[in-house]
Amino acid sequence: MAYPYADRLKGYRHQVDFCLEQGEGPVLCTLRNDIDTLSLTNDEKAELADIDAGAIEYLLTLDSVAEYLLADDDSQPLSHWWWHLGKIRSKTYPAELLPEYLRAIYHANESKPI
Amino acid sequence: MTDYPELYRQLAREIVKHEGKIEGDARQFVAQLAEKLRAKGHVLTPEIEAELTDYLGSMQAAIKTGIEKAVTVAVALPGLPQSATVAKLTEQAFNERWPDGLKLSDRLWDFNETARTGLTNVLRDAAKTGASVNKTVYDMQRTIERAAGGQRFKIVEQYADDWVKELHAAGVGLIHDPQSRELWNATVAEVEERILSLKATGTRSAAERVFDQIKKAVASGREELADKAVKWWLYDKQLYGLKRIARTEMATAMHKAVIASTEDDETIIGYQWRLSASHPVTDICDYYASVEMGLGKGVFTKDAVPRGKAHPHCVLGDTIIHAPGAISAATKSFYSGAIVEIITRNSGKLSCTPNHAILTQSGWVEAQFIDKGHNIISATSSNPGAFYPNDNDMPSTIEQIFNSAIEAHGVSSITVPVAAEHFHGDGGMMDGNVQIVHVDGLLLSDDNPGINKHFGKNPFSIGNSSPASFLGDGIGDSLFNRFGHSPNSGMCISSDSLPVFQGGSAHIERLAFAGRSDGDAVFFEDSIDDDPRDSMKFSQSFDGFPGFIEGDNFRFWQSNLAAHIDTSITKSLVNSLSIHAFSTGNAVDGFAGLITLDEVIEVRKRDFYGFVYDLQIEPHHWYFANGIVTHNCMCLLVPRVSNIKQKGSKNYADWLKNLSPEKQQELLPDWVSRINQLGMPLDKLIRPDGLGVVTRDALKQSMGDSRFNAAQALGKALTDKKWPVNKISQNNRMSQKTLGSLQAHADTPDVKRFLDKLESNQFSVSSREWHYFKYKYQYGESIKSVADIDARFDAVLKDPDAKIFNTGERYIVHSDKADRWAIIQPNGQRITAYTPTQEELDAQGKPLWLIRTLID
Repeated sequence: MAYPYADRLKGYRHQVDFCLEQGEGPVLCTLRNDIDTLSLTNDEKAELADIDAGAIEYLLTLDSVAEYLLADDDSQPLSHWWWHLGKIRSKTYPAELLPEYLRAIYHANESKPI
Repeated sequence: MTDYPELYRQLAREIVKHEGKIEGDARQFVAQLAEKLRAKGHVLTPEIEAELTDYLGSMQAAIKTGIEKAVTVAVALPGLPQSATVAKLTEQAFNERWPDGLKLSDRLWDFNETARTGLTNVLRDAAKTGASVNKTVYDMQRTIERAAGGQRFKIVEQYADDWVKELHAAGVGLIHDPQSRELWNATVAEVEERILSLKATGTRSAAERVFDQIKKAVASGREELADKAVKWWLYDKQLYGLKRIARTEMATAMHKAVIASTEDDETIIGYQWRLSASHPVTDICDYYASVEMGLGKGVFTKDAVPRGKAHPHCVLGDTIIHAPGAISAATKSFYSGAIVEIITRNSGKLSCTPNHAILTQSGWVEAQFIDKGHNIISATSSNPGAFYPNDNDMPSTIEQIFNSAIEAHGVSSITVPVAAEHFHGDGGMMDGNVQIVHVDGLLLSDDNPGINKHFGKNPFSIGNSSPASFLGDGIGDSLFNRFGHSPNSGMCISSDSLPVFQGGSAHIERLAFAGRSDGDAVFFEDSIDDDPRDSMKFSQSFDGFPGFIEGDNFRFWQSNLAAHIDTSITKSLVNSLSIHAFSTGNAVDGFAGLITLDEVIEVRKRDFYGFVYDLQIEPHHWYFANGIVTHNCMCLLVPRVSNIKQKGSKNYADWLKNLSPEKQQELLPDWVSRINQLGMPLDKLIRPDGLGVVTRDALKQSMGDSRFNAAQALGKALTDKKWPVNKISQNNRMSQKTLGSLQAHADTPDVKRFLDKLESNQFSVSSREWHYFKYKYQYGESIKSVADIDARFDAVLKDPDAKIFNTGERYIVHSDKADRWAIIQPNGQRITAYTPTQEELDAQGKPLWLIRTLID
């Protein structure tokens, strides 16, 4: 069976689906940041939105997330939410900076302890 | 009206007369009894006879069920066959005396060798798992009580002491007839006197209790309370009897278990019969200790090892003691059996167990072999006088000495079972326990300082005892009671804990079983034999060979053992073994003015039921008991591990390599095994002198903290293979996608089972299993089974060229060869293993190490 998802998002998907699912994500932020520089097709954009939503859901529902993921890099722009996962988990991230497709998920979930 | 209670008593007496060895079946036996009773004028109808037969048969069934229950309790172990084993062993436990299998213990119901063999196998397992004897006993008792009829005390009612029956009768009489107060008062006076005479027996407190209860019942005018008091008295006696059986049998079984549990251990080559330093009598021990079977002097092959021991040596509690030295330990055991009374011309009189050694003109002789006309060494006066200037010269009984010791501050006592076969059969007369108290923890041999000085490094982490105080300065109660004691003067305890000492003076319950009954400890430092590796493989989580000690658990560090044994200790041990040769001379020469030859004018043998005592005296190991010089003796059976030189190995590492990989991993401590599994060769994990593994601290220092920790984490991931259990969120879209993929394959049996399992477990699942189904059915990977998930992980960690990254303390190990990376938590838990993209790899940056450089 051929890989069923977009190749260019594969690494990021791995980080969310295999790693963040267990509270891990060694290179999640880096890969998401790299993707932000790509010109994606519509399908890829849709898939990215899906993976992002999955990431936000995990951050806001898992009982525990690795500390290194939640150590925000404040040198990075706040609009790059992937560098501010700690704020997202604690619901201190300004929701208006999130893409609309993530805002609803963000609002729908309670904060979690860091 | 038929007096059934009386008939049952008659039946019981008849059984006792036959010592439980009843020929034929229940009906025949009862028929013979009925004939006798009729001859005496009893009227026994066929119906009554049938009733008695039925009663006897049901007792048999009850006992059989009770023992079967006990066996079931004992064998209630995971992985062991239940009903087949229980059935087989129950059958073994009952021998041909009864066609349908009733077995009577020779303590109470006359178990014979066949029964003992059967129970041994079961009790061996119970001993291995630490099954509670008390529970087993109570289970047996409860089963017997719950049997139909509720008359299960009848068979032991005949053993109720007459005075109890008389007191009960007098009490009940007074309750119903106030005129009988005179009889009651007279009975009470007799009972009081009787109880006073029980001071040397263990039943005194129980006697006082039933006496008090009956008096109170009479005072309150309640017959039912008096009946209840007697009932509980009988219950206690019956329980005591069962306890004696269970403990004795279990103790015997444990002794056999020591041997049985090591028979298949390739590292154990045989068993050494080691003479105690104070072995006083030339007897079978000397033969055993000099036997030569090609394994070294005194070392038996596994199939030839003696199953019994040889050291009985107890005197009765009222024996007056004078000790020519320090009392280092005292033992107390309940004993029921023959004792020997020796009376001398100079009015010396000593009562002791048959094998207690007494100094005679011909040397040390066991009491049972002392005859009229023999000359024994005794004090010139009833009070041999003070040996030490500060001695107030007030003689004490041995019971007083024991009680003083046990009540002293800082002294610990432990109670350990003894085997019936120990004490040359004297142990069989004991109640299965010996209580041991150490006065000051002195060791018997001169190697005490050698071990003691290294004890400061002992990594005990429990108890309040500081290592420095453990040996020599006093005994930490909690530590002592939990772990037993160090070698030589130590005793082992009947717990699962294993004492661990750097320096190798470990003392292992099951192995020391052979030693504990006679008061001497298993001395595992075999420096005298130039083999520092006396240790044992234990059946549970403690691996004993080669010994290891870790700071956080209790294993026996052989390496430290070897490190702390030096030639001076070896010499002192050699010297200590010669002590016995001098003890006779010491006794005679050293105290020439105080002792004399005393002719034995009478030797009596009688039964005794009560406590017996013994002392350990430093340094001569003998003492005056009622003026007669007697001795204690502490020879040991010590399992011997294979001498690496005998195996043709150059050193420890070499020896280890010759073992199978499974055996190696079994014997190495976890933290060593992990690093070894990761690829660090054994040579690097062995001390430079080749005598054991390196210490954890030493290795950590040589590797550096970060490398050591990484190696531990990776090694643990490799050896332990632990995965987290996740709660799958059905609301999460990523999980929904996986579940959706699985639903699409729900017709596949594998998938259906998994989905059902998810539902029933409320979506809690091992991540290993979850990943398997996700990789296979959602991502289309070619993967055959859940085990492949582990195989992927293993393939990464087994690649010496795999690169190790570290992110947030997680270890990411990437193997080009396996085309996967594995993510591991700092505690060694597996997170995931998959084929990363180049972007993921690039994002990791430079690796910290390769596996080969990590463990280099």
